[in-house]
Amino acid sequence: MSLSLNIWPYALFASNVTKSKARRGGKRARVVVVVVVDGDRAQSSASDVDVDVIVIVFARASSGNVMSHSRHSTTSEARASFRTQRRTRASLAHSSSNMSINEAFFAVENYFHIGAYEKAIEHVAAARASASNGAEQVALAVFEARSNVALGKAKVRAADAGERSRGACAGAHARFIRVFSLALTRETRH
Amino acid sequence: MIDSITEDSPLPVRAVKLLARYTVGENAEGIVQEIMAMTEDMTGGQDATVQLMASTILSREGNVVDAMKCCHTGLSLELNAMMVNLLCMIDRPELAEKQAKMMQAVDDDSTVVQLACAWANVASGGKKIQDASYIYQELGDKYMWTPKLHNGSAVCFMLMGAYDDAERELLEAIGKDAKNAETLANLATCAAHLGKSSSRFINAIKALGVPSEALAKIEGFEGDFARAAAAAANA
Repeated sequence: MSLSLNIWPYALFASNVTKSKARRGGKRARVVVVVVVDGDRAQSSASDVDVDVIVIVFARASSGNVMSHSRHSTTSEARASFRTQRRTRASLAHSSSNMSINEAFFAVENYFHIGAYEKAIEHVAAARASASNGAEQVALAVFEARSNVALGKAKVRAADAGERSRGACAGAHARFIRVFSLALTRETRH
Repeated sequence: MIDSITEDSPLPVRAVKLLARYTVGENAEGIVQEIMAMTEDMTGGQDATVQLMASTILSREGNVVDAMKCCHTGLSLELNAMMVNLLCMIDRPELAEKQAKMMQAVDDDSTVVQLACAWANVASGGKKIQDASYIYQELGDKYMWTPKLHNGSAVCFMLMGAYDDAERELLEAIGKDAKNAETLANLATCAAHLGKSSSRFINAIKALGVPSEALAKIEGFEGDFARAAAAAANA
């Protein structure tokens, strides 16, 4: 039993996803297939460093211990397999710590559109860390502000609101004084 | 966040602040003038967010024609989705569907495109309601179920006559957000069709104290009934 044969259908799936996305003129999907054998070791096939889709396959070795085979083998296949494993660990670590702006931005956008505004705000922070230019920062600020508006957190600046309210009170007070004094004048005439 | 937006903030963010001020019930006329001035500005005229905010405010003011003029530029998928929404509002489902198909040609996978397709399908009615229902199910399973998606799904069930399923969806939505006016309005509709009392949901909407289209309609009908009753009593 060869591990590379086991992961082949999933690697093919990864390749198809990437191609179909590219054909449709959409964003290029990057897929990583992770095969966990007997729950203790992992082998993988990475099509790129940044990851859009992670396929995890749990497998049970049926004819001997696959990992021990690759561990003891001195063939180039085993060495290549080890290198892939190491690269994938690195790429997974990279993808989890440094999410690309596109992925983070799409997450914000998607959560906003389906009405998960709190989630969208949460993702803005992650996206902001990877946003490199001003336009991206503005786009994220717009989504954050719109999410806040949708959550009913739209508040006018306290200073403005206070001034308006004080102005309204002063106006009402002046009107009351005017009406009261007119009434008082009429009463005293009678 | 909204408080921190100043005059020095970028134009799109200031446009969102205008929407925020509009939603808290500030002087609507002044805000409409401000946002229109922004759209007429050279920079604002080319900015999708400014156009979208203008369209949103104008549509809420009932000025659908000017709202459509803002969307007409089609600078972003969101503006196109707004156009679909407005076309559904004025009962032109065939045009909404056409617009949604145009959006699908640009990016079929986008969430906003899928939602626009669902709205157009719901407006068209018939067999397309089932497609809209599938879209809501898919989005809910793919990302997460939100009151908005539950409401969309419930509307599809109601249009298909499955009021029990609609009520189940709405109860899940109310479990997630008990103060959602749309969910309460849909629950009231569902209750009426299931032969249950809808008054508690209507009272709950009134208690929220937020402007609700459903509540405005109910109050309008109550006013009409009172006038008709008074006319009948006088006759």
